[in-house]
Amino acid sequence: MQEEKAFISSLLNPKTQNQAFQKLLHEYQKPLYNHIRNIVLNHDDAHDVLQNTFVKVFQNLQNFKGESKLFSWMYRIATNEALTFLNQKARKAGISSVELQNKAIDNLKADIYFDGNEIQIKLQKAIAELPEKQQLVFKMKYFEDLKYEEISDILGTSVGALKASYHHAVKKIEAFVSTN
Amino acid sequence: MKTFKLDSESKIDSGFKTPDNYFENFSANLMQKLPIEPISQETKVISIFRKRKNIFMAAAAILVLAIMIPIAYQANTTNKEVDTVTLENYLTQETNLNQYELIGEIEPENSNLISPPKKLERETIEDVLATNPNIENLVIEN
Repeated sequence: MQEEKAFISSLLNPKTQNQAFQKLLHEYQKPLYNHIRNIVLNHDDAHDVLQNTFVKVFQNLQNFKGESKLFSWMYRIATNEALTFLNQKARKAGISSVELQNKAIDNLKADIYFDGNEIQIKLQKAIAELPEKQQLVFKMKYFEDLKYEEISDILGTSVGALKASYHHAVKKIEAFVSTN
Repeated sequence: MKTFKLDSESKIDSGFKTPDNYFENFSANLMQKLPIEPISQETKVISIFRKRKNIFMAAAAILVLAIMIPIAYQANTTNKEVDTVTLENYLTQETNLNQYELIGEIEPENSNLISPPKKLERETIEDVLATNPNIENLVIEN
């Protein structure tokens, strides 16, 4: 914790800021990209959202109170940015978020930055059927290998509720894949 | 129909890929886009003078003109002829000539500068002598 405080201080200090932010980027750009990509599905969209996320992190570092870990705080920003992005995109297209998500899944087959087969497409379709919160919990646990405690800190939900959400999500996905 | 079980299957990868060297390029590009100014921004001080610079400049110009116009007018209208008092003072202080030396300097040919003695009537002389109480002094001086 002391180490993180020192790191945040170096991020706020104009003399060390550049180097510290490069370190932050190096450490978090991959996991945050994966987190965002799992939500928005498309690489170009993930790129835009990741960029916005780091700009927001940079702009709001001085407001970071250290009540949660820097890791959780950044994940929370990335999650909000990704969900906001999807909602805006759906609104602009005049369709619902679910329709937008299904459209994105259909486009995955032609996506040069997607290297998956039928089971992966089917899994994405099954996830798209879940409520938003269950989708997030499932993706963070299954694809990103985050611990329940970490997810709890990011989403502000108790570990028990998260376990229940994940359990329900797995059951629904298994049922969807089995019947489709 | 085979029942699908997530736990019994080998873990399914998301299948998402990125372009080559994406993260290296992303870092470099983002660092260029981020504002260079320090994050901990100090309160910006807005100078009142700078904000109203034109007003101050205009007021200063008017003030200078207001002061300069009377001075310039006075300078143009000053009489360059030396007045009598100044000339007398100058002659008194700056010359060593007394009145006798000054009279001596007057050449005989320039004696017409001195006004010729007026012809005095007898009655006039008598009046002057009668009314002047210092007649004795006048007689002694002449």
